[in-house]
Amino acid sequence: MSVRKLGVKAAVYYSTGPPGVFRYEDVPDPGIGESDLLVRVDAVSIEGGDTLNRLQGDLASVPHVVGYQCAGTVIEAGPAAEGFSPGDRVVTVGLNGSHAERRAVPSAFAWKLPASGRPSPRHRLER
Amino acid sequence: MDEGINYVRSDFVVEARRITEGHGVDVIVDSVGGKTLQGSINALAYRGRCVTVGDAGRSAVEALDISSMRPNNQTLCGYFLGAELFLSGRAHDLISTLLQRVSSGDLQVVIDRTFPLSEAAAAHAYIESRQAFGRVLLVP
Repeated sequence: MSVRKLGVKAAVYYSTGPPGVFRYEDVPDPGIGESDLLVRVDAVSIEGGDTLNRLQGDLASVPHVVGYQCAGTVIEAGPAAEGFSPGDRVVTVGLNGSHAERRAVPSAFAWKLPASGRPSPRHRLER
Repeated sequence: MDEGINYVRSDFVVEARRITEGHGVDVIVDSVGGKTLQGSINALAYRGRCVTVGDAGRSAVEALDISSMRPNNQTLCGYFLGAELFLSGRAHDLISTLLQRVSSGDLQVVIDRTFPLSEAAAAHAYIESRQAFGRVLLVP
């Protein structure tokens, strides 16, 4: 994994705790390995696990970019990331890194959105 | 959805028994843990299966009473998607199918609210306020 220039905005934290631990900062553009995808994040689905990880436990890095899931667009595909090309719309899951403008994920943890399908229907229920 | 139970207003174990006319629940996917997981076990039918998939209740480890499980031939097991994605293609294929069903409109994704990524703290606080019904999104 290589580290590139600074310049990707991310919601990060330096220690676990309540929601107030978040800072909105520049972080290194995530580098990708041979089988990885670099994805422009279009929407983050906040998972229950994201809030749990923010609340407690060890940090994999400091500052840390939390987050399991996001939908986005492939910017770059590693040479062994078969079946993916720049421009592909994807859903991704990873151990962390969704709360940022860009994330890197193994291609095995990415799914291309069906090309012929319409965009995901948004259905707002009355509460 | 055939039946919904508001667990704030009623005991979901009692309600599950009532709705199933005493049969109990054949398969339960429990994402809450703690006391809720105990309730799930108690709500199982004969030969029922309960799958624990999360700990949204953030409960400390509790001793589970499993004394009803053996006489009723019930099963309690765990599921962790991350491991399945690493070790098996089955979960990947299953998610592909679900995405197809979302894309076709067969399944609908409920989106409660969208926040800018810069307001991640507010988005997390909103989830923890327990007001959200559906997904809460961040958009960079």
